[in-house]
Amino acid sequence: MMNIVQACGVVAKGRGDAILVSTMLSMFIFDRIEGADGKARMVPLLGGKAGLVLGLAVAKVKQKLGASGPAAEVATTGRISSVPLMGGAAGLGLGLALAQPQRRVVVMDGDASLLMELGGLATVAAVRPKNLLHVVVHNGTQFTGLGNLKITTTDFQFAKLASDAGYVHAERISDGANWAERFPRLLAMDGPVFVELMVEPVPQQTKPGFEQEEMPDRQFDRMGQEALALQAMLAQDAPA
Amino acid sequence: MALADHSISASAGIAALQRNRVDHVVTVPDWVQLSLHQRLQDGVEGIRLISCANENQTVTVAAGLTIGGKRPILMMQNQGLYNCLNTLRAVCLDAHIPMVFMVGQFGREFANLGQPTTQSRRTMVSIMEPLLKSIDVPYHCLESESDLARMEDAFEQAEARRTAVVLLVGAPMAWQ
Repeated sequence: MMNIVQACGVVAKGRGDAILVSTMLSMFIFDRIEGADGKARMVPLLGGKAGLVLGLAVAKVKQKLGASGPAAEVATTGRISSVPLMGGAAGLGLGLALAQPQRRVVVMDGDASLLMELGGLATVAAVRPKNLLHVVVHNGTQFTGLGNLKITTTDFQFAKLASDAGYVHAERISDGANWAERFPRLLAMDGPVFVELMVEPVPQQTKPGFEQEEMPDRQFDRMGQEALALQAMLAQDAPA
Repeated sequence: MALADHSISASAGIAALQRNRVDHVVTVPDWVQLSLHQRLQDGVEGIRLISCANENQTVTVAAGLTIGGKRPILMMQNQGLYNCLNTLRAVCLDAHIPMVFMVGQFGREFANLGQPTTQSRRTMVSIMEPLLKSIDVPYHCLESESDLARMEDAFEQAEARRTAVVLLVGAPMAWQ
């Protein structure tokens, strides 16, 4: 299995001008590895727990060095986060793909999120957007890295279900190197394409005495801010 | 009062959509707006019909379309709006993505036509307006064909306030 830095890093390094829709976990990882300059190229994509720790550590240093403002500042150009809204990523991606057929759209979904809106697979397959790559991070946990609570089902076959629903192509990928190699071809393929990434849960950080931090306002504002920025960017690119 | 006094024709509904430059109707079908659904399914130039598996998806798909520069409207029934309340909260109230909903008052007894919907004996009808008020979502009641002019107001309000605005369709639409 790959780690989450490999899963998201491949997308961050290879998406080009594709629009990126993400759920909570992927959003946090993209924030870290894309950092203030929006460029993920310095972040190493190595396997295992050591690779995860190294990737996040380099991302953190890069973010601190690159940020001109607050350390938490990140570039989210071309990105929108379905946050806080579980289950919304595929629909957002579908709408964007239909409105912007000349652009690729990558949806980085979560397994628990997708389980909430499995019917969305049928909706996407029925509309058949050629420019949509729908990826699900299958790590089997909710609140990964914190509580690592198990999702409702242990071996759900997301790729098989997407294929049965009518996606043009669906596959499951477990190996990080294979994902890196396959990504450009999957992104270029006429879709809708579905990829189920088998990802190790982030090691649990909580233990007795751990105190949960207050959710920052940004968590509740960012979807709206990203929507406005993305809308403005796409309007600028629209043919006259 | 006769049903015909409250029914809006499908033709007038299509004309209102076209007048408001709607290019996508994103929907889970509604019994009250059945004749309008039929017309859209048969094909209306310039309007693409997108059917979703549930109402949460209608909201997120419409959000993506709006961000991408399109002008969608959502069609669903009252039960559907109750179903997608959290998605409406996230997309329209927190993220301030403007959106106009056409919501059929499914289950409304004909004896309630011409009366306040809060006096309906059907819960799904009677709680709708109090609910919308409580979450500060503007709404307009479409109780006869002339009320379709409120669709212009709804789009203006949605864009000016960057929120959801609901058009409540009170009676089964006419098959004309």
